[in-house]
Parts: sequence; structure tokens; C-alpha cells
Amino acid sequence: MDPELFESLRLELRRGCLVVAVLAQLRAEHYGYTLRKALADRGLEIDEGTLYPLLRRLETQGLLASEWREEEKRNKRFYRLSPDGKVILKQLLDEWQSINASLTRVLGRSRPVA
Amino acid sequence: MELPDRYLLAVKLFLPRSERADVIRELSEDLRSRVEESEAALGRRLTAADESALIRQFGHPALLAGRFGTRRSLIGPEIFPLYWFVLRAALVIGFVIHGLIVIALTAGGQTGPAVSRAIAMIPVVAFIQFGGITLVFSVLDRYQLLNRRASMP
Repeated sequence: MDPELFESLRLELRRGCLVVAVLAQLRAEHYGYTLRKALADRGLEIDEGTLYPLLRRLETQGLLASEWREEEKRNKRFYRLSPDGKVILKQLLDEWQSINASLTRVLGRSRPVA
Repeated sequence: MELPDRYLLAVKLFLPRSERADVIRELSEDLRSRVEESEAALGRRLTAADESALIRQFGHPALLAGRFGTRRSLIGPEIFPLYWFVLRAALVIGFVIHGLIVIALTAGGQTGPAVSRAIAMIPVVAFIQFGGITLVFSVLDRYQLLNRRASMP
């Protein structure tokens, strides 16, 4: 079987989850580097080429607010979930729960989702 | 920080003008944090080889820059089937017409230069058709000229 096939399906599955994870992690303020570390510490590796464009997109969509601020004598861009972002995050989490519940039912009781 | 600076400069070249300053400032901050973290972990300054390995993880500058900004395509997936159909049809018709011309020339007693000139024109015409049709469809897609009508109730 084509090994790239799994990779592309995995990316597709991961893409939406990353958005939810980034929004959820930004309930507390972070700048790019600490956000990436926080996600990695929780088992979600995300590279710069994915994270920064995603942050920009979410900010353009009004789900994140950012500001440049000095910390340890260096300027860093801090991100935080916006009020709109909070609403969307809640909706996305509900959606995710419902998809998860459906999947569990589809898979049947003999194969519980880990 | 010589190598990282050169890398960021290369990324900058491929970014849309309006996003350049902001994106580079942020990436540069990230790179510096990573360099500092590695230096703290190693207990020494990074060598050029270390820096180059670190930067390699960021990928090719053009590819990294390409992930910022909206996705651009010349001909999108919605109108691609139509584009493909028209392109194939045009090429087939072009070949058929040329075939007929060659047959007509040969039947008319023409030989040598006239026939070979007609044959030599085939790839040229095919190339022009390809260019023209691609141009038309990319304009149609760019301004959503077909999609708008299709999406009407």
C-alpha cells in the first residue's frame, strides 16, 4: 500500500484537530515559541511552518487577538483567544465530542475507541 | 546569527509584501528562542553546522513562505474538469485538422517541404492552444465567472 496515502489522510484528520488544540491552548496567553512547546509537552508536535500560518489565519478570522510586547528585553507576539474565539472553541469542542461519540457507536462496543 | 539572518532574508523574498515585516519579525523571534534553547541544552554556542541543522527543520524558504497567505492556484478544482475537457477536445480537434491538411496536401501531389512544414506546425499549434486555454480558464477562475452562475439557486 502507498505509504503516502496514510500520511495524507493523517494530515487531513490532524488539520482540524490542530485548530481546536491551538484555540484551546490559547485560553491562556502564549507567544509562538511557548505555544509550540506547550502543545509538544502535551503530545502534539506542530512545526513552525504549520503553526505560524495557522495563527495568522485564526487572527484574521477574529478568533485570536495578538499584541507585540516586550518580555525579557525582546519583543514577542502574544496570542490569546478572543471573545469570538471562545464561542467558536466551545462549538468546535461540542462538535468534536459528538463526532467522537458517533465514531464510538460506529465502531461498536467490541472495539472501544482508546 | 549570520545563517539564520540569511535564511529569513530568503523567506522574505517569497512572502507577500504586506505580510513581510510581521512574519519575519515573528519567525526571527522563534529562531532566536530555538537557538537559545539549544545553546542552553548543549552548554555552548552553536556552531555553523548546528545552526544549519536547526534551520533545515524549517524547510525550504519558498515552501515555508508559501504556507502563509491564502492558497493560490491557477485553475481550481471546481473548474478543472471543464478545463481538462476543453483542453483535450481542442488538442484532438487540432490534431484531426492537421491530419486532414497533411492528407489533403499529400493527395494533392504535394511532397517534401509543404508536408513537413504542416507537420512541424502541430506542436506549435498545440502549445498555443494549451497556453490560450489555460489563460482563459485561469481568468475565469480568478474572477469566479463560472462558479457564480453555478452556485445560483
